[in-house]
Amino acid sequence: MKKKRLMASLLAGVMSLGLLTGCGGKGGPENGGKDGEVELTVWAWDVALMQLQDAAAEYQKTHPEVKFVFEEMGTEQIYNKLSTSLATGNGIADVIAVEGEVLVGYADKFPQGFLDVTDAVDADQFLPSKMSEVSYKDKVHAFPWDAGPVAMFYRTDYFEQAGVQAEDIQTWDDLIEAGKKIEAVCKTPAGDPVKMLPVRPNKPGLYAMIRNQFGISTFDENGKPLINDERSLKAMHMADKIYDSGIGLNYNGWDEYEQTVVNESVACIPEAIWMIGTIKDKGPETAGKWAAMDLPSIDGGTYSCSNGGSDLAINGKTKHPDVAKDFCKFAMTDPKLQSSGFEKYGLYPSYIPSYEEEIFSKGDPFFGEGNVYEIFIENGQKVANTPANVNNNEANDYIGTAVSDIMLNGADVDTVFENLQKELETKFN
Amino acid sequence: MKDHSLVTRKTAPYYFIAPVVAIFAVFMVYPILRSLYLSFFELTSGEYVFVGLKNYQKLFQDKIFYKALFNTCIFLIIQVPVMIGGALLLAVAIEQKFIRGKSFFRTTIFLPSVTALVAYALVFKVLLNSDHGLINYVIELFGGNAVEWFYEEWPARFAIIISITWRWLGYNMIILLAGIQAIPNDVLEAADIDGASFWDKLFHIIIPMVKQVIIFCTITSTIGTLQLFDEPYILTAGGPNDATITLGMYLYNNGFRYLKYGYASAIGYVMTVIIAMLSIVQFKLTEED
Amino acid sequence: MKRFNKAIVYVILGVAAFLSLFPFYFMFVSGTNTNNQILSVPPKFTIGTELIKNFEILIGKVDLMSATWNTLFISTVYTILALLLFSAAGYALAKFQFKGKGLIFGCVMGSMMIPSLVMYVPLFEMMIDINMTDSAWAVILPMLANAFGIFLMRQNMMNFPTALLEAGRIDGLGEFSLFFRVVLPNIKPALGALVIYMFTSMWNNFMWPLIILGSEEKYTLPIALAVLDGNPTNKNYAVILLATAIATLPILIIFLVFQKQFVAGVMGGAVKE
Repeated sequence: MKKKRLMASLLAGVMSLGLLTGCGGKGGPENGGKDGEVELTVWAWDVALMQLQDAAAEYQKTHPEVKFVFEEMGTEQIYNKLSTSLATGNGIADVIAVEGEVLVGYADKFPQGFLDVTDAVDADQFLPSKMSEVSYKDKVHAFPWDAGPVAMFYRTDYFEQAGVQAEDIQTWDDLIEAGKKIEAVCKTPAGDPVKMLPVRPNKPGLYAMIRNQFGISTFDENGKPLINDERSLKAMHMADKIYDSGIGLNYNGWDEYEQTVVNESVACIPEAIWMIGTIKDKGPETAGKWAAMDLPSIDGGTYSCSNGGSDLAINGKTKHPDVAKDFCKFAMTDPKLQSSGFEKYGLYPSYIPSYEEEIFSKGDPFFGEGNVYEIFIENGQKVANTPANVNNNEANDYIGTAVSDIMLNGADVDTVFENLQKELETKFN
Repeated sequence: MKDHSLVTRKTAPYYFIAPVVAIFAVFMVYPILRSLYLSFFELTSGEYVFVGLKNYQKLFQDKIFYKALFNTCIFLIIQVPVMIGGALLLAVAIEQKFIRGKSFFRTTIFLPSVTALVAYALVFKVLLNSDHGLINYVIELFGGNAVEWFYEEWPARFAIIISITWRWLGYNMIILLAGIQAIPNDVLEAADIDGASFWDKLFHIIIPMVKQVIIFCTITSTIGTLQLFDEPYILTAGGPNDATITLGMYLYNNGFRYLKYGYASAIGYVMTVIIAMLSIVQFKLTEED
Repeated sequence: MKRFNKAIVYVILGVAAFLSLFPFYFMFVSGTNTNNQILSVPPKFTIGTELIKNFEILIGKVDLMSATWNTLFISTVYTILALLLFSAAGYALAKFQFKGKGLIFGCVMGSMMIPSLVMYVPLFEMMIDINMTDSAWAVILPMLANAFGIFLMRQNMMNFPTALLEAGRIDGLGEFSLFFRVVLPNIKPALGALVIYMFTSMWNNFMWPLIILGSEEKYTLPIALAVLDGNPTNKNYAVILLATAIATLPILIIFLVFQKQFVAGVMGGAVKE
């Protein structure tokens, strides 16, 4: 391109001013080089990175020629970088951890951005909901990694004090009743009344959870919004009822969510299995006081839901596609690695054969005597297999706005959702 | 560097300005033109596809865009005057002759503008917490009712205004302080001899004499507020009910989260036009006097 | 002034100073407490005993030394280049008449109005084309297209006495010598202001370095902070705030050293039109 050449020469001009002698970049992550040695760069955050480091150490026992460069990146950092550079594949790592909910956006905008791993992923061996998360337009864009089956954590001590039986909470309405009892009786260590559950009244969270119990998502398989679908409306009415009943504790952002554990201010947390790590970490004094039960049900809902979890993708322009694929396959399907990743970092595998590992039948004494994992394993198989949609991310922002209009401003559920339906139809058709 | 006959008084300015011109051409003009060009495209399946004016047409029908525009204007109308007024007040206070520890006050009040965002976010969430925050505590101390800072639309907007003001007031104060220090001492002394009150001096001497500085602060603050991104991003995520979403944040969401780069560029250009118009109005207002 | 009025002025300033300092106090104190103490209500506001433990976690997570060094290097080089280039440009714009002057100044000022977020994608593409990603220079060069700095220098140069320049010319000084020997030594306050402004803006710069720097050993402090903050489910605020406190210290020092010049230099920039 002419323009680029012009720029390059202008830049050469700037450089020749003598300001820039002896500098300049080495370029992005490059391949290693000598004698069949292969170097893979890996981007991931905190626990995901540690797990991949463990996997790499195992992998190198049989593949000493493969070297790894691990670079720790926060999630936002990874996305900001992918947004600018996935188009060219330049300057990004070979292997990249990506959260499940954002994967499809990149897969749609940059169809060649991630390496096609269809042939390396045995679809029957992974949770169906995770498979649909990584599949888009006849291509598997990443290896399914950890899943986030949801159940309800609850404080056995608070329940006991208020005379509430876990078995009695069958429906979301039961939850409201129990919540009122608990608030009337229980006090936090700081002396405030205990609330039933944390609620974020400006995000889809609670509504989406109940809606997913009906087995539907924001869009159907043809990309039509399902906002004014009867099931979606039912879910929102229930979420609103829970909010209006006053049993919820408002929180704004992750730090305040963690505070509910630190301050022992809620009796229940309906959340994905990875919350185990946060509860243990932020509430060490509450050991033995937690347990997990199934989510309250909604009339007509037969599914469970999931939240979060990530996948492992490969840069489409990597210099070593085969090695990268081989490593990822190993890291994602070695049952021993999967179980140790769960034990050490709370990464719940979506690779079904790994549930045979001992850890999953052992449970965790922090959560009482029963096997806390049981309900999550069961629910993981009950998550509906909803179609991936590229507009989910943006639609979720719209739903968050609608939820705050309903919960905080008291707007009418049916009107707001009817309008939202029309808005999304025009926006995304 | 050695002088030679080539560098005359006529040619010298070209040498002085050439490096900056080159840098601006490469790193400013080119990207600006390129993103203007891209605002007529949209990224579809890895390719930029020409869509003509569609991004702009969509933008003018986009409810969130208007909400963002409205919020941005609210921030502008309330926050800029409050901040500049407050900055002027503090600058005048520090310049009072009897004040000791001037440099202590100057430094501490300037400090917020160099805080890292993550600390700033955490601190303000703590201060504005509706149940246990310091700000609600003070409000209740004076008999008021606790405010739901993050869950009601107007309080959320004020939470943003409070935080921006906190962060940038000291910065503007320093600039105004410089203006006040430039006022010749004898002017103020003469006023003292004439028995002028504090307010007389403020409104009839100080403000007229630092008018240029006030306008300068107003214009830079206006530009900053119109591009506002950090505070809603970290404090309210644009909520509740989009009450605190700004143009800058909507641009970021489209470009970096929804990957609609063409649309984001279109937002950027509409913002630029608005900023340019406001700046021209403000410049014109100055020229008239 | 009456004693009562004086007291009021002190109270106003005292409150302002307290409010400004409080977050810094919280930041430094939190670095010595545990994560749970920061998250409990109300948070712990007194100095704790966890400083060493937090520091150990911190240096285990990010290479603080190299991030500090990178940031210092980038900010210093950037500031020095900005001083040279902007004072030269400001001098040309303020003290000479030449063709294209109005256009250049107009473009520079106009660029202030473009939201920088829209330019990052084109800039990034460009850096790939010229193979300059992941280097300190890729961070520094685009940020040198900074309108505010040029404007500040131009305004300061406007006040520079033309008689001094003429005297220099009569003494036979060439144009470059005139600039380096007469102009620069006489605008130290303005340069001080520019140092603070440029240095802090680069020190805290986040988005562009994040996009353009690829490898961990090149990270700057704000990116390192974001790494600490970037775990989706488990954050250690004590460590994050400790890192933030450490990252803020150099800026405080720069400000304390240059604040006199800053005040005076900004004055030259804003007052005289």
